[in-house]
Amino acid sequence: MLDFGPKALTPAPRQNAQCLGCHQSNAAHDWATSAHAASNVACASCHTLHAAKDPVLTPATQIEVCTGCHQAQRTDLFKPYHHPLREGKMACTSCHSPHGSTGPAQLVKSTVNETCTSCHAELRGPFLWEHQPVAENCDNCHAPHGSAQPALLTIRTPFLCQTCHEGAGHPSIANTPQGLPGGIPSAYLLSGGCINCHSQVHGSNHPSGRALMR
Amino acid sequence: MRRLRRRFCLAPVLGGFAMLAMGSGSASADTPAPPDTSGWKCAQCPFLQGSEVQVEAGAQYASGANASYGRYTGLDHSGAYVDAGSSGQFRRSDGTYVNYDLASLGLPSREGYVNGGQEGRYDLRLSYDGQPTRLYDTAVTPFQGNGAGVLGLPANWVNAGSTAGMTQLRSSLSPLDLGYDRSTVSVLGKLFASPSWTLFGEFQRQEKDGTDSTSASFLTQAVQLPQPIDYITNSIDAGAAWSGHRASLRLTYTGSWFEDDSASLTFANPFLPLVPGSTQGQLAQPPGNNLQQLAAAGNLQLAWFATTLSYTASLGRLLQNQAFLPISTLPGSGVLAPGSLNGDVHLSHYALGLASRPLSKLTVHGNAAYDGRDDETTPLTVAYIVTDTYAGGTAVTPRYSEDRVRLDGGADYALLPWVRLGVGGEYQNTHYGPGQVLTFLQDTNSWGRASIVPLDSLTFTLKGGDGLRKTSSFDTAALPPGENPLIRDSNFAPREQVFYSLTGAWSPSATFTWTAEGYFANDDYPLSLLGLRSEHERRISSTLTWTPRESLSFYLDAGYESLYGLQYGYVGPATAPWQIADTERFWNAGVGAKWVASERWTLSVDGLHAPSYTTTDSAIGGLAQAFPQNWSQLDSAHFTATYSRNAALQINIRYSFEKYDMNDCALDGVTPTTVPNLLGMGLQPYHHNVSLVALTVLYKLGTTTASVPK
Repeated sequence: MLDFGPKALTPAPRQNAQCLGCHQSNAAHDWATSAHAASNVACASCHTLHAAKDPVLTPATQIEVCTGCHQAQRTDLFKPYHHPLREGKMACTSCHSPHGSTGPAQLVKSTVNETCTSCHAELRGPFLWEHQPVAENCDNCHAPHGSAQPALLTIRTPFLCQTCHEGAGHPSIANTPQGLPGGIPSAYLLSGGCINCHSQVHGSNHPSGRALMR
Repeated sequence: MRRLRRRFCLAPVLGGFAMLAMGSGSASADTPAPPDTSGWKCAQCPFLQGSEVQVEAGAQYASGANASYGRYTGLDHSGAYVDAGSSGQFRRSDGTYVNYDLASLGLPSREGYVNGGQEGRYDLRLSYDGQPTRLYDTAVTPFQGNGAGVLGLPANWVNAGSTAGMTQLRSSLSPLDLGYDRSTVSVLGKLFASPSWTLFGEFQRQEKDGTDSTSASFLTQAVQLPQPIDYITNSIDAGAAWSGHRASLRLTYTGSWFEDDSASLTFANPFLPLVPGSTQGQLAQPPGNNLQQLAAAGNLQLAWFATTLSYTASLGRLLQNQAFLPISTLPGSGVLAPGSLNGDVHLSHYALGLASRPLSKLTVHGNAAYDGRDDETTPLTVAYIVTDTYAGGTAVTPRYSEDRVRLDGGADYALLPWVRLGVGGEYQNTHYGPGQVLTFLQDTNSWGRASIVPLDSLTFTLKGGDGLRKTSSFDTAALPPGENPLIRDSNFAPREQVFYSLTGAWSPSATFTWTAEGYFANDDYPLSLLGLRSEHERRISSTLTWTPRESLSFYLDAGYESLYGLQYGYVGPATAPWQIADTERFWNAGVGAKWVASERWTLSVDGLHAPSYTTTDSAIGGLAQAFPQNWSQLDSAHFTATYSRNAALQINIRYSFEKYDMNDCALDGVTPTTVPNLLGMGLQPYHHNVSLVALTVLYKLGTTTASVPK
């Protein structure tokens, strides 16, 4: 006799074998090598059986299930800038495949960029003028679970840009509180910072977009 | 309206507990084998028959709502909103069914689906999802003609060398709501051709329509501009899936076509032109593109040691060939030849995964993956014009290619019935194409984990590890002209990492559960004289749930996170290096309860407090200067009451209060004229103070009955 559920005595692999007997073919074909399987998570730890609506299958309630374990991501949800998860318009499974995948962080696509541009297709390129860290990995600049900076940036501009750009002239200057209103207001610091001029930071298809300004 | 509130539910917490506790339980597990389902009969699980419809209708009134509050829901102004939804199901004894669910019908965030089919034969689903994004309702701009692709200024506009001299600016400013609506329609069909084969196809059309902000410059003078958003993405996923007793295969074709209604955004120069003819500028808008991919994925279950082998292979091409814009709006500017990019990026992904249980107490798993991004676009030599102002010279467009190999794996061993040990690691090697500052980058990390169950009700898991990123020599010749050769791009810099985590779960009874998690991580970039030098992350969180009786439950949760980053910069000789230390701290605390007071009344209450603080300290040559602290604070309370008049009629009453305040020194008080060489839009940090009352009536029609099939 097997019993199912998060507190069941039956070990997770034995519980899961029952479920996978039927549910192996589609989303679950990467289950065995997934991080959840490696952590002995039972199907019934997330799925509520015999319910009219399984909470984990509804975006508005899914994050309650996921952040029960992934508590750091729960804190991220309440940061000033976030994807619309707590508003119920996205779910963790919009980006992640909890049953396993061969992408990093169990993403639904093979790479971070393919995952992000499945919704943000306007940033997919390829552009005439590419920006290397953009083409490589969106996570180089963005914190997708939540951030204190606009556009989910990991650090505020201009400082984020200055982690890679220290060229002679304005990229290298020290931005200080003197650049705020009350001092000598600086376009390098206020509003969009570097983005005030280099707005095409994801890439430009303009022939004169070399510095991502057109 | 569906905002996240802590619906009182033990499942998440118990899930966390299970993740830990099951680890110990499985120590004595036999090798699991897939069950033989051929003899299974549906003798216990009843089939539903009949029809059932729920209709909920009412109204909600929001006081104080604005774009900040309604960012993703569309509740963006004070006033009344229709609150309506419906769901239903229809099922027949032959297995045919129709389900539907419609929600938030009175809001731009409305969504719903209808799906129907016959069990075991086919399934069709039509869905719609509206997703508003309200960005700012504080924007003002003198630009006219938003949406047409050409932004002009009023006829009486007075150009000037700085914003202070633009004498017609104040009288020309018009308010502008920034934001857009994303609507997605999809049709999904599945045909269960046989017990082993399923054919599937999905078409999705996503439209994004509205106005965002962008910006541009004329050399040293910048403007913020309204940017029309008119995007359409059509995509198709189609294929076949096969499932045998010990193997599965899924073949998929994916096509995605992105179209932008605007190729360019032309805008008048509000400043005095720096050169003759520089009276307008032109920005390229995102070009149309398309992605085609073929993928095969599946698994193979081997007889030895409960081994599962999974595999994925995909090949794709990303194409873009939109016609180029003129090189500049300056008179006499030419056109770049060829007239379009013919962009062609080849994407490939191959992966193998393996999981096995060679001993009853030992499990191992591993993955090997290759990702290739091969940009085969021909580099072009471009004689470019800088910001529609002056000739900048000639440059070759860079193309970026990379090959990445990722290996990861781990093993888990049940040392004792109450101790479980695990080790694992990941190795990633990236080779970059020619013309980049690195030829390769290697990222390695390893970890160890111990799960201890001193009592049946108590579990601790301690995990720790480190990581090391090594790179090839840094080719400073590949840096952009003028770049400081001492800089190490943060994504290319050698890095040393160390991290620890401790999680605990205590569940002394079936009604009480407490979980806690702590995390500590340091990243250091020892070879980066300039750029990012170090990052630290600290976090702790805890959740407590108590269900003293079936009709009454409480929860309390809290979290804290601290992020720290330190970076160095250097202007040049005869100047002292500068540094920026950025510290971000986040808190969240929630409390709530649910009480089924009687057969008719159910009450729930939730509260949330979530502040954040960002401090940025700059220092030049040891002279410290602190930026004003940026902060935000979210406070909310929600109360719901449900009165069930009878089995068919239910009345829902909801009251929500939410207050949000924010300070951002880059935006606070920055008007269009604050910066002499930046004509801004006056975007201000978010604030709202909203009370929302909702009253809806839910009525159920029809009924489904459960019958055990013969």
